[in-house]
Amino acid sequence: MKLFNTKRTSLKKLTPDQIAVDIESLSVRLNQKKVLKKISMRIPAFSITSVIGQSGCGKTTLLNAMNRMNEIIPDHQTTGQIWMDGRDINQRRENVSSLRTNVGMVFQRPNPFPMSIYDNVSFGLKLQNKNNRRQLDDAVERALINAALWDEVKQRLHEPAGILSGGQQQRLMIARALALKPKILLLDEPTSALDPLATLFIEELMQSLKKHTTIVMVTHNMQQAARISDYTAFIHKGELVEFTNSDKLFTNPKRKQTEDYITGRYG
Amino acid sequence: MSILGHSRSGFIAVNLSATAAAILSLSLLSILMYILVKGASYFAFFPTVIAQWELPSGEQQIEFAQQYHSDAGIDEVTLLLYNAVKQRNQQVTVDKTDIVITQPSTAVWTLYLNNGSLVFGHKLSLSMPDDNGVNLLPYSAEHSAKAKQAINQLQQKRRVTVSALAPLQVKYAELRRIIISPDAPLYERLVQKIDTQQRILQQLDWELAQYRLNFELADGEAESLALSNIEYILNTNALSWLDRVSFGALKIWYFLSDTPKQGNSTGGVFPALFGTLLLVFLMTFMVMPLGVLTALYLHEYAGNNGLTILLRTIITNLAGVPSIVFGVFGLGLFVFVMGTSLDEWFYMDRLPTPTFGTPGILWAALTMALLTLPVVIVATEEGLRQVPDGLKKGAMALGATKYEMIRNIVLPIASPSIVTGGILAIARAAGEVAPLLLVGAVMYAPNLPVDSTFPYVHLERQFMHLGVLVFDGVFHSQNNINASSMMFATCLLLIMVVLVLNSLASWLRFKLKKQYDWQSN
Repeated sequence: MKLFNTKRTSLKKLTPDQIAVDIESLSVRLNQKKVLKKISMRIPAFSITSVIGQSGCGKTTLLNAMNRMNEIIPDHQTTGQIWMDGRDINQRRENVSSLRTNVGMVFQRPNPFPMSIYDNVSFGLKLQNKNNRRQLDDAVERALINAALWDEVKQRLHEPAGILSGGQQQRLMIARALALKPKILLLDEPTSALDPLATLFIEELMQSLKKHTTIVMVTHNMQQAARISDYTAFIHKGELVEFTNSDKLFTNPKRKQTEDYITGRYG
Repeated sequence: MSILGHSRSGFIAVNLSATAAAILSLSLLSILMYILVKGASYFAFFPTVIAQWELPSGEQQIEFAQQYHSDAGIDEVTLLLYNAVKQRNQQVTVDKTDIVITQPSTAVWTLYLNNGSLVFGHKLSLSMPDDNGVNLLPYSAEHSAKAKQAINQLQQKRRVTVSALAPLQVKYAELRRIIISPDAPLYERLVQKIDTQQRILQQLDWELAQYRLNFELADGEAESLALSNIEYILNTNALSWLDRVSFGALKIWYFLSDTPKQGNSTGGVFPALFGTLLLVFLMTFMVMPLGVLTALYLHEYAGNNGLTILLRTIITNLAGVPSIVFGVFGLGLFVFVMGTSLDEWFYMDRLPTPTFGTPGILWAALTMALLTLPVVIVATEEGLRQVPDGLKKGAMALGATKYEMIRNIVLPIASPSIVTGGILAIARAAGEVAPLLLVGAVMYAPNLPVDSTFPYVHLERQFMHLGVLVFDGVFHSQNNINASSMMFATCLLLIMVVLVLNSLASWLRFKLKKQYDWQSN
């Protein structure tokens, strides 16, 4: 297995169409506390970007900012711009529902709805009033194939999702997001609740997904970040410390804080 | 083993709590058994006897009577006899020392009248009219069946006449209201029509009265009753065991389907059963949406501020307000304010006779809904609290709006708790009496709130309620064993109604819980 891919484009040389998300001086306040401070970063398309950092440093908030999930918290305030497809999603007139279908999200703990496997995957599509049975069947099958779950569940699509194992449930969550054909997939510590084998499965899946999707992943596992991501961002106390190619960041960090963190001096 | 050792091993605690649980279940069971035994005696069979006893004056009285299993004491005998002068049943209690004879007899027949009275007599014969006049025939099953057939035909004709008369009388009342002059041709024709129909009715009634049952009372006096007034003619002592059981079953059916008679001391309880069920259903349809929406607002939309906490406290405390206070409130707000306004806006032509401005089932259901609202809100909020945040976030992340998230995720998962709230509300509403007495339940209302005259559902009507019937029955039960057992039978029915409604709701809850069990993973 090739540990480091040296052919990655440098972040500084990205052309505009290679940028999936362009974040400009993003600040977020949650419950009167400054969580993110003036973050600017350009996330390249069709790649895996890891976000690492201590607990509570704002990684998840950064992820949530990209599909405006921070708005679930009643006391929230976001300033700055996040550009996707040439528009700033932080604008008031942005359609949050359609934004979230374009920017899928998978959480740390698998959270299948108390419905059948089929209904879980088709949930997002049904919300968009896509009720044609054959189209739904096709979409569910495609999403499950893409999430490498199809062979395991094709016989029991109409059984409750709760019967699946933790790893299978997490892949079901990915399938649920993929059914909406998102351009960007946000993964919030997707493997931290899983065993090593299930983790490996998900990691392989992410590698195959990045052909069509931009993946942004929050992780606490630095080996995982180094292993599978193309780019890694290190966030410390709400500030972006370093964002560069994963191999560069893990072998030759420019900043002292990054080095301290990845060598385990804190965090 | 030391006492300390006992208490440390939980010996005392286990025994004490087990004893408390045993006492509680025993007392619950005995209450149920008491009501069951007392209530079942309403359908039980009592022997018909010839009784002779000495009056204080020294004279001897002889009567046909039904002898009850006396619970006044073993020194006394309780008899139900028919007073031919007052034309009603009468219960007497006689000291055993005064009794000359009480003898079950197959010569005595029991006549079950339509009005609920029991008449006892012997030496039965039938009067049957035919073309040549009235024939006197000995009483037999064959003749009685023939008479019944003829009576049924006449009664069918009578029903047709009555239903033809009803719209005419409505029209007459209408014409009277707009004060048309008495010599208007329309008015005259109508009066003539009504007159003809009424004459037909009189003729039919007269013909019906020709079919008579003649018999003798215990003192030898001859009596006769129109057959159409008699429900059953039974020689109760001669009945086989199987007949007695099936007659008991028939009594249960009559209890469930008939109206109360003789001032709620006998007959059936159908209007009360119907009223109770209708009240509960109306109440459920009112309280469930209101309660669930309020809980949703409090839990999902309202900010977590002082006002919400205050509101929640008020709602919780509302559950502790005495129910009679709700009754007074319902009477004041619903009946006098809302009802009177409704009358002024929509039923001006009927004033000063109030339509909605009097107690009625609509206002009773609203009052009960108000009474049970806190229960539903608290139970629903409990269910909403159990919905995991992860699921809500998951739905939102798939592009669901907050409303879609609540509809597709929150409500299904909370539905077992919502149904639990419904169960508690139903149990409370079905058993509550005090507020109903103020806002619409009455002792006797033979007209159901739902019938075949337009607009079919009359929510402004007063209604009967099982609990109110029990309340009324308590006053009869002092000196009337039959009424007392009817009250207990009504209690039993009320318990069963609550039980059935609860079981239905529990079954629904079980189903929902199985379907939306998010914890199964």
